[in-house]
Amino acid sequence: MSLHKVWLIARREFAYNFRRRSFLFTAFVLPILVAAIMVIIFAVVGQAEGDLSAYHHIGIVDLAGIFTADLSLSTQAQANSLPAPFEVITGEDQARAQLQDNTLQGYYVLRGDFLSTGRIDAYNHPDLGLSDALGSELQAVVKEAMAARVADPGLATRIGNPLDKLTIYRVGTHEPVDIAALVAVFVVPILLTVLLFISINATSQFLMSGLVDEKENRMMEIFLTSARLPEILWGKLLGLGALGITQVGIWGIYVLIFALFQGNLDIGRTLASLQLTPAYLLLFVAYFLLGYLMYGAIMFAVGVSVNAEQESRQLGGVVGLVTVLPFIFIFAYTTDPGVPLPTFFSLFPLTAPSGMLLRYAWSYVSPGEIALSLALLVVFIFLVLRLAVFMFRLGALNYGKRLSIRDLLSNLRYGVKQA
Amino acid sequence: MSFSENANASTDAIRVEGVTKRYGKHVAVDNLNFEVHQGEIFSILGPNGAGKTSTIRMILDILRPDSGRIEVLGGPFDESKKERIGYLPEERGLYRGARVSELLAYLGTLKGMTNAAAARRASELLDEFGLGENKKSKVSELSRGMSQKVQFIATIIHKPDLLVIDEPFAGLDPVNTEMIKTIIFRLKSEGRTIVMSIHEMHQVEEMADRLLMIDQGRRVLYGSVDEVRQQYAENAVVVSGQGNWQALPGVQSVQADEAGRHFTLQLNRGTRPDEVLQTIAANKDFRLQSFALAVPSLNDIFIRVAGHNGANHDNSTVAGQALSGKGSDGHESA
Repeated sequence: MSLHKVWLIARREFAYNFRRRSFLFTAFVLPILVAAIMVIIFAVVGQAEGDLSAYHHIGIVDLAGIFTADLSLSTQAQANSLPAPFEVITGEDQARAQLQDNTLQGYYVLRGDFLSTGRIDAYNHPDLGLSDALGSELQAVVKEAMAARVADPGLATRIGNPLDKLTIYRVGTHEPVDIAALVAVFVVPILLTVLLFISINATSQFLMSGLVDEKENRMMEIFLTSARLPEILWGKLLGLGALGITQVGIWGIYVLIFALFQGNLDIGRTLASLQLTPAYLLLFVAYFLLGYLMYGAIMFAVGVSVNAEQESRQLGGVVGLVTVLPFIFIFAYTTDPGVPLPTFFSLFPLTAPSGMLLRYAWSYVSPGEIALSLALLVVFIFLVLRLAVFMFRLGALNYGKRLSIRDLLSNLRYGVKQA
Repeated sequence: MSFSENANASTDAIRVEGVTKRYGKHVAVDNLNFEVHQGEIFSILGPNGAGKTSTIRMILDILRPDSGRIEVLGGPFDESKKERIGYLPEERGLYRGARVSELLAYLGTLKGMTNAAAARRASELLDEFGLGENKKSKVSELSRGMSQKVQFIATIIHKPDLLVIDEPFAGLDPVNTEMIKTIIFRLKSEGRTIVMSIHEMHQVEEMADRLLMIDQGRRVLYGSVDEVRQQYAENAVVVSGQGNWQALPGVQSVQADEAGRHFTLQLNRGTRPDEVLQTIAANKDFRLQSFALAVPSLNDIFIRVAGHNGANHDNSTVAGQALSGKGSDGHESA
């Protein structure tokens, strides 16, 4: 095999596809778009979560005596002691009347048995619901009122916020985990795996559509009289693989720019805060490369067996459906990553790249299992590449004709003597 | 007979011996034998589905034969020979989004050229083909004829020793056809070998030194163009002028063309055309304006041979064997 020709083909594939609009969009525009959408969503949700501006008069009918415990205060003073928009209403009938004449926008009734049952009933106008934010505010007010009933101020503080000194350690380390990173422990592996999935699929799709394009425009025969089939295959795989890595690199640059704006350029600390260990990153790179080779080979086989890009997308979509299974069953990972389904996904080659990375991030996976998963993936890639080459020889020249299973089996039976 | 025993081996650009190719139960090429001499224009003819493309693909090692041997440029096919071969497939196209000069340079480098040399040569050829203003154009911006010329340039950019071109004139207007023909003749004059699969019989008559006709995977005609035409020539002459042609001794029948200016004289068996010419020249009752052997056009021969089927192959094949100068191997007339 001529490495020079592999290099020529890889370089051309990289340069040609780098200039594709779809690549430029995915690499440069998509991250900005996703970030913008996320900022908007978080802004809207965040604002909605804490926004109490719509509420001015919310009554609390305290039948449990939570707010009337301090008998030294007058009822009016007790009512005024509550933060807006809450105000104490003396009875349920009065609250109902005020709701009807719109003096109140809604009210909560703390039932007499509240301390033993926790029962609170809420009433509101149909056109103005009592939001979760309002409920949280009520909870804070009630919690504070109850804590005030405890004589010990320290105990009162603990009752008010029992987990404010929580420290979490990762098994095997003595370094406490940043509480803020707890979200990252859950979210980052998902984001990274999605990233891997998108990148692998996008570049594999390039490979497949490029191949279909070459079949459609009859370039394939010219290539076959210029280079060996393995040179063509590896040139395409490596060129587009480099494109995938470039894509991830561009996304990484965006992250760095974001970190720069945040005033944090300590990459090691950033990675640590995201719970990204060197072992995880190493595994990420391994599964990225092997996953790409596998999907690339599959897409290569699909590309040579069809004649139109639409057909290739349909077939590629079927493969894609299998590969997203770990995401569909992600609940299995979050509840117990050791159960058979995540274990199967982490070993089955089609789902291993995403399946293993998710499982490894959230649970202990033995080195033996990782080795088995990688070995199965390598063997599978080898077999798919062989099949891809075989199908290429059968299908590459069948212009205007889709390579059917029947053709494939027929040729297997008769034997194909092409080298 | 082995290749090494053949005296012409050193002058053969291609040698195909006993090659058979099957797709499942379908025999696409059936025990085919022929040679292409170095420096000649060789035409492969045949009706659609005859096995021409399969034969070409086997010569180029895109397909491997089930049996038989093929030698190209002096020996079995190997990777180094790809750089000495230019191939223009019948069903062809280019990357529509690629720029013309970049694409040609890329294809040149795949044929072993340096990037600079390929770019320089591409530029020269684009100028020569009248596409100098389109160097930076995308392929999608070219007309069909322009694309055809770019494809032809891609085939010859690396100055191949062997050029295999499938339907080189398809889709070209007369001006561009003449341009490509001129280039092909120039390549021949430089000693390069050209194998053409082509349907335009008048182009074959004009350009080809020798031809091979395949039908249903089997060789049915093979030899020099003149030999093939002579083989199918009847014992007749075509004359124009004045006189009672029917009264000539040895003339069996006379048939005038539609305009009534040319007459085909069918001669009796044993009467030679030169004897008829002598008789006319010696007789004052005849005024001769033209005299020619009644040789059928390749188009007529093609229709006659390709129009036959089954048993009729026997006659055509016998002709082919006689013309090739090879002994019967029994397969071609099967």
